[in-house]
Amino acid sequence: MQTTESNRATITCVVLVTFSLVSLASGVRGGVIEQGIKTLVGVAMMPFLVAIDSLEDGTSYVTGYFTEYDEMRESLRKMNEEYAQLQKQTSRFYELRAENERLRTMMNFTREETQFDLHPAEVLQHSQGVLTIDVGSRYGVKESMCVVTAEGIIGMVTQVGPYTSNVITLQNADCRVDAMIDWNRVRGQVQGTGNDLSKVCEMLYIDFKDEVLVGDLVVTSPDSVFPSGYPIGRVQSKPVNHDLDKSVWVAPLADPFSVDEVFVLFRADLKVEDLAYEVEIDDGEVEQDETLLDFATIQERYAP
Amino acid sequence: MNQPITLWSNLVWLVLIVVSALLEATWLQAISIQEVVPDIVLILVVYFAITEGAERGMYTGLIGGIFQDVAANTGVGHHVICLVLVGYIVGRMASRLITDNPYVKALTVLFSTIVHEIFYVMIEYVQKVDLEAMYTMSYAIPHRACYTAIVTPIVFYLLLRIRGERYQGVNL
Repeated sequence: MQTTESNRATITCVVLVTFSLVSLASGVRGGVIEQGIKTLVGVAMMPFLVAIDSLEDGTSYVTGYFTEYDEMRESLRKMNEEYAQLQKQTSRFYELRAENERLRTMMNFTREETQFDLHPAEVLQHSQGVLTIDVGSRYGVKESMCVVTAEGIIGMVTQVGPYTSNVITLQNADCRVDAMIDWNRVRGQVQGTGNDLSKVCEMLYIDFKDEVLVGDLVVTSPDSVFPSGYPIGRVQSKPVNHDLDKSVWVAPLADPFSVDEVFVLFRADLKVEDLAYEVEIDDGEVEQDETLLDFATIQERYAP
Repeated sequence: MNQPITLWSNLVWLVLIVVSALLEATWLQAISIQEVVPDIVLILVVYFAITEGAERGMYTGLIGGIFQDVAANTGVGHHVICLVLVGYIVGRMASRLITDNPYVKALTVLFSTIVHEIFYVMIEYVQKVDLEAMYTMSYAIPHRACYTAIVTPIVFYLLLRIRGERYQGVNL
């Protein structure tokens, strides 16, 4: 019995060694039998590999709470710092974009309004209806010069220093601008309330019989120091009757409380080419007749 | 010493070989010392050759060897022939050894590893003439043999626990 078992083991050994030697001696990897064995082993290994992989993932997940705690805290700290930095940059980006849009609007305004000699200025301070701007007499600024933006008028220069100037805005009680309703030329005078917290102005001295509606555009009249027809604001309320006249509340189009850049209006002259009439000559072409120059001032030209 | 061969014991045996081969190819890399990993499949071959005879040891070597050949992408038969020979030799010697002594078991595994590695390097040398066989034999084999011998008591203890408790009372 013992001999039979011993012989069986020896025979098994010989068979297995022979099988291995034949497999090795064939030497061609990727043969049909070898590929079959590999496929079979691969399929058999698959559930174990998946299980080991899942176990590995689970173990890493659990141990990660302890081993990666400091790393995670450090990472979180860095991310918070980065977040704060990015917030700062984003804020700066929005500020620059807003500034860019304002400057673009100003540039377009100077291109379109070629009849005006405009000088840009930056607002340094705003207090009680008075703006301080960063241009003064060294730049040619004089008292009573008009200060405007692309949206509408801001106010008037009252004090001039070498490098800065003070501008009273429409909110200042001392600022009075002759105005009119755009569509029917009804005259009046826009005056500030003197309230530093309110942007609204009052349009006074409107005749009883004149029609003024809510939403009407109020512009500068030819009697004012501003160029005629320049927008001031829109009528915000129905007229209030007084003894001899009536008045309305006007919301300025340009907000002096939030404005950052303005224009100082140095001169409001038109060029000769702009004033010359256009005449039609024989073959249908149009040319400017310089003998018929219109020397009216800009206020006369815009006035009714 | 030999326990009855049942379907359940065969299943446990098969799973043990597959799991050991997979562990050797995956997780045991984490405890490698100078790129040397203990050969768990070889320990299994020795264990089964001692406890259940040369035949069981050789079949263990056959299955474990095929898995190792596939994992190492060598030609099928390379690991198989080495493990089968080790299983046969240890199985034949087992009756002459006092195998209950853990030191004897560790020494058996130590010498088995050396024999296995020598066979392995010889076959590899036949296939690749430019192999530095002497360097591998003098450096890698002693390291691997010692490392495998050191973990042998642990693996033997685990195997005894698993097989002793799992299928002794379940005779399918």
